[in-house]
Amino acid sequence: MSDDYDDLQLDDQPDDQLDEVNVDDDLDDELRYDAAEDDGALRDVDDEADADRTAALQDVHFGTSWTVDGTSEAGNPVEWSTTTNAYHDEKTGEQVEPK
Amino acid sequence: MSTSTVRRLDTGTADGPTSRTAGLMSGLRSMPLFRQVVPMEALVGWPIPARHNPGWDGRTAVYLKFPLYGYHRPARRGEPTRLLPPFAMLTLNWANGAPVEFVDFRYSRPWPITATPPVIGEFPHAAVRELSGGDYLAARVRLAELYDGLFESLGDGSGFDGEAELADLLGRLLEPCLAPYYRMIAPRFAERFLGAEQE
Repeated sequence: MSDDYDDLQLDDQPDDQLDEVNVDDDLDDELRYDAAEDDGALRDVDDEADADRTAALQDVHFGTSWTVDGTSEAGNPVEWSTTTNAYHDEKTGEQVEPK
Repeated sequence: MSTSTVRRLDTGTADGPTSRTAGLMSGLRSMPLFRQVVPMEALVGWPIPARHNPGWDGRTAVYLKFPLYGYHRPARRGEPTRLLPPFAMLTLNWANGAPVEFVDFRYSRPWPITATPPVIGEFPHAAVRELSGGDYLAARVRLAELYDGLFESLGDGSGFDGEAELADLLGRLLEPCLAPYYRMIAPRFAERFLGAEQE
């Protein structure tokens, strides 16, 4: 199989990775989150500018939503979600087409 | 706000994706498969390329593997978001965007899986913490464009001259806590674009 792949990447998950033999009951320490190694993890957010910037980054990364014109079939406000790229009923969360 | 002014995630414009990669990333959530098996509170990681040469029909086939991972919403706006390990991976065919594989890591267990996923890190991480939202979005848009070049080069065998820029941007935008998982999923890709693992 290796001849079929070049060196740009090609890491097709080998079969043995799907094998239970590969499962280690002991968690790898490298995969644990150590707050002590991350001075920002538990910091207090007392700087408004920092908080605004963090929120702006999160809006881009996780998505956000805005209330838009129109209502749902149920008459509720409608929001546009950048996470789902769709309109949702603000009260029920259901995907809708605003009227 | 009028919908015409909405700046969509990963696109940077209101007119639609500026790259095929961004379009595929943002389109994932519209897929019936995605909606059926992926919680809404899931994030889509930067793709990992895979090439079959020859593919099933004798021609070169390129695929995008998207690790999916969870997070805990911050209690207050402006607080860091805590990230959880990847829990699944969805693979798309670059040629047509069709899903070709969904792997639930609770089933395949490429690494130890715990009943309660541990917090592995946070967003924003240090490399992007000082960026404005606009600059961060622009960086994401650019990285997606570079991915386009990588996938195209994998498909047609042409050279890819954006490797250094892609590596630089991916190294900054990929949350460091996810890097170990990328290294396990795709060690050669990770070594090439994320660099050697730090001791």
